Amino acid sequence: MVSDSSFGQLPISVLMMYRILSLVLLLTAVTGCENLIEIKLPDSSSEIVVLAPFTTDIPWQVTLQRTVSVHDTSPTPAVIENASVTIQGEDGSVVELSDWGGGFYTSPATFPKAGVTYTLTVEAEGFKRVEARDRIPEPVTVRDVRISDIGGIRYFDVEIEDDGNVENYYELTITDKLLVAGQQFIVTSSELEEQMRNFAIQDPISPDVTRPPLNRALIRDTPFNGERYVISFNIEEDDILEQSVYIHTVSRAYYEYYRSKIIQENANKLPFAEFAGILSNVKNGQGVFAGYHLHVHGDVTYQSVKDRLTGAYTATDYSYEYTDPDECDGCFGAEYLAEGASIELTLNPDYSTSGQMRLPPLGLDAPGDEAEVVSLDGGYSIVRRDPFYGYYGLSFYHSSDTILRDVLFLLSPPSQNPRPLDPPVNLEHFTLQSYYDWNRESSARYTGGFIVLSRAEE
Amino acid sequence: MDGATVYNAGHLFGFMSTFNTEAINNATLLKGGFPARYGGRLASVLDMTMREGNRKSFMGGATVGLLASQATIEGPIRKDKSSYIVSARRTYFDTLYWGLQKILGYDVIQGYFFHDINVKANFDLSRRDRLFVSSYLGEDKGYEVYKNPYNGRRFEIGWQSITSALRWNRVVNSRMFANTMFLFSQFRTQIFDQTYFLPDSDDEGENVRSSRYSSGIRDFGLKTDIEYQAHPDHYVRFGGQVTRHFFRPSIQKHREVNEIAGIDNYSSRTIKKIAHEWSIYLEDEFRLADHFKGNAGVHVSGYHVDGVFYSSVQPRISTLFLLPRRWALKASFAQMQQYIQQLSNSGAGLPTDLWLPSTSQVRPQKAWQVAVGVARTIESHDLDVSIETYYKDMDGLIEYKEGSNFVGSSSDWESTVTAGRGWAYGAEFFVHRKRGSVTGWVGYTLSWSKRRVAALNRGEVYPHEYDRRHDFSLAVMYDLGRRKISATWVYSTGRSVTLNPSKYRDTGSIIEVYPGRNNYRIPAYHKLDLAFHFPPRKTSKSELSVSLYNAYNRLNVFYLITRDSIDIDPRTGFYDERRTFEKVTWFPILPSVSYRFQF
Repeated sequence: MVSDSSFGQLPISVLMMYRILSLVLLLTAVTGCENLIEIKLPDSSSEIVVLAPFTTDIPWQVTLQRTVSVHDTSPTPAVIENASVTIQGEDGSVVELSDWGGGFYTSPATFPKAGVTYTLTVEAEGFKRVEARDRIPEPVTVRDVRISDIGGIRYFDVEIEDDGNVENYYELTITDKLLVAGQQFIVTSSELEEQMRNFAIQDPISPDVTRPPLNRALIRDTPFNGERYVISFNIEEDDILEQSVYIHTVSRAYYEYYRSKIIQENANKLPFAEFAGILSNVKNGQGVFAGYHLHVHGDVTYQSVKDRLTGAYTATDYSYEYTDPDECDGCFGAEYLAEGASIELTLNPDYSTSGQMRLPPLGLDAPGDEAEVVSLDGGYSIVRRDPFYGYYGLSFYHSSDTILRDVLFLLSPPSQNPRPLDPPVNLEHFTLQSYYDWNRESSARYTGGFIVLSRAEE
Repeated sequence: MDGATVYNAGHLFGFMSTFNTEAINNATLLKGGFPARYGGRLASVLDMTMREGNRKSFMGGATVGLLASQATIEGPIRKDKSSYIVSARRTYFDTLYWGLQKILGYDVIQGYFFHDINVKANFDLSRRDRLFVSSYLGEDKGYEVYKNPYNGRRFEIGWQSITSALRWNRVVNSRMFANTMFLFSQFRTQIFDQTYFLPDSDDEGENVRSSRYSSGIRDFGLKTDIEYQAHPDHYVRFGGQVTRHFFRPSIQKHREVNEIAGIDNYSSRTIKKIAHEWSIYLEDEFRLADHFKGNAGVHVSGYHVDGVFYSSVQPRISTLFLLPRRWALKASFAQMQQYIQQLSNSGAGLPTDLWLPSTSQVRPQKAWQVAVGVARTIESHDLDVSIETYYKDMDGLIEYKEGSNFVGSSSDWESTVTAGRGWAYGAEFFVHRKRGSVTGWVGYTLSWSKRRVAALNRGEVYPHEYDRRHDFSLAVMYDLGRRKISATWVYSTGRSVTLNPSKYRDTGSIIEVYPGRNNYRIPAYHKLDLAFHFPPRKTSKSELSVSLYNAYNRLNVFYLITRDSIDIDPRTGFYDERRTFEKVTWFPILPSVSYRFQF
């Protein structure tokens, strides 16, 4: 009845009949050359994706895009413009966010409040109405942060006072002061070992990763509910000068979304891994609308980063390269600035941008093609970039379909090296290192590109 | 197999039976109402007995095909007292295929082979005592070798099953038989993956990275079955079994050598688990009236592992009422408990199953099942017709947690699985003609199989991987005396797998959206096989077979692979990952000739 083997269902007479036929089966494997046929998955209906983590220091910012087919090759996100985005607080407040283009919706003067439950409603033509609810949790009481250096390792002990009446979720991150870049650390508290193991890439070459290096540690209070608890973690001290430690109190929706995202990213790095779904709190849609509260121990605060960012920039590098050692015809690249491209961009204190980007003609491949100038008027947001380097990164939004919209800018010195050793470092620059990726088919291929935006001469 | 468990029921990923039909005497498939004597399984039981060798004279037979052969020899050890039989199969298409691929200059060379051997001997110890020794060994291996001037890769995947049984059969008296068996079973699955870089010069040294994963189970068991004709209307069976299971759910060996960089890392980890299982049973095959018979019994089992003890009492009953006009009504109920868990991956990749023990953290699987059916024999057309419906409820089924990996290195596999409930129901229709020049059957099963696991799929119900809505088979054999023509056609709904149809971007990463577990169904599996058997000469005892496998060349999907490639926008220089799914199909249309002879 419920047999998993196709042969298990056959009576013996059939097995007898297969006596000779079975040999045929053997024969078939001679042509057992795998026959590959691409399949198209049926298009599932497109959904609205909301990305809107919120906290008290940042005005309301919501980005909207739609899900696209997995076969889609468009290099930029499918942004949703002209949507109606409303946030209603249980305190009676109502905010209509304005559309700044590129799927970016904001209200630069309105800030979320802690402890208030907000309902986000998004209406866009052609989509189901989307709703999500969440609140910024009460801030955690941080009793103490102790830092010590022993034998090339820097140890951190963060003592928090957990509220026993509610389920609490925390997130820890570390930022290097000079680079404003995130740093990997290892959580050592033994009560958290099981939770941390969930974030380990199950790399067979380094088995027993119970304490994986993390960019962000998401922690549930189950092992220490209602207690004073010390979260211990450490980093290798090599080139570290000074860090800021970020202790977030996050909502359950925030915890679930980002935790499942890390698990999916880890699973995607390995063959044979089971699929991993994303836990979203967005009704009729995807993504996350979730509150967090941030306690910063150190100098690098959101505001200090933002203050240093505002101003005018121009592109000083815009290039890419592609190499494939097996096939060196495939090694090519382009210097777009030399071909006539340019980017001019101003970041304003109210999170708006203005400027323009000039795209060079395609050249020999497309005779008659002309250079194109597109507007960069829109907005920006300071976001967190994971899983690799940054704590702070920058995303741009504008109606023009440009590469700036698709890639994340890291704040880093004017060098391609994300981890330079020699201070002083000029933080007035930030660069994009279009994070290169390995093609999974053949680890020999390399492709990557750079855009460097530097502070324009005053 | 002669009482011992074979954990791997198919060669070529189940496309072909594990069992060499030349060596099999009898096979009984038990599905619905298991009698109490069977235990430890929730699904069906295929009870196979190996054939015994000829006690009178030496005999042999062989089938020679283009790419595989089979041979059997048998004969007396002492005439009329003891005999033996040895039967073996081996495929060799991989060697030929290797050559073909070499000639064609392929970078990647693939191959697959299997072989198996059955050995059995029996001895009359006295008029009342007989001794049987039997063994089975089967092995499958698939491999892929890639090499270019700079580097190379070797990938192997294999399965191996060994079973042995030593059985002492005693006729206690004319109404009582006893069978005592010592049983051994072993199953192992293995994956080997090696990557190496070729040195530019001889003094550069080795640069190799290799990993070997395996998973296995080894059982030793002692079993006694007693059959007793207590009364003309009561045939009683009782007995017991003790089994020591030795599980190695995960063995991993990794080695990385790079002589230039001075690296030589070796790591090896084995997770072991020993468990003891025992069971006793009592059943009565009874006849209460001419129109009412049945089998009622109880199976009691226990299992010790890690200092915990699980036990269960499993009632079993099946009944048969004979109705007028040659109709029969059948009804059965059975409760089962299984201490060995089969774990299947749900992704697009190779279907790879592991056998894992119940432990202090992973509870045994339980199930109960009811089945009701009617059957009728239509004598005028030599037809047996039956319809059966069933419902089965299972608990404690294990599945991988989302994002976990079966070759993962999580120090205990128990933390990578989660348990839940499953249920299945359906109806089977079967028409069988056993006599006449045209024989064959038509079978159709309509079924559903669902699961709900709190930690998966947001706790929502999802279809099981083997949820097959329709399963149809048709077999016709036309007997023209010494010539025979046969045709079979099978159709079944495709397996379901989890694929992501859509995606979006979050801060530089691509997020895959899964609408639900097992959301995609592989296209239906169907094919037609034709065969024509005839003697090459009129008087010949041998037989020539011409057959056509997959006659209309249906490209059935074996598994899916995902391929991520990068598209570069020449205008901006930036790229996008593009995911495609490709189906891997095996076994296209294939004509074949084989020659079977006896000596």
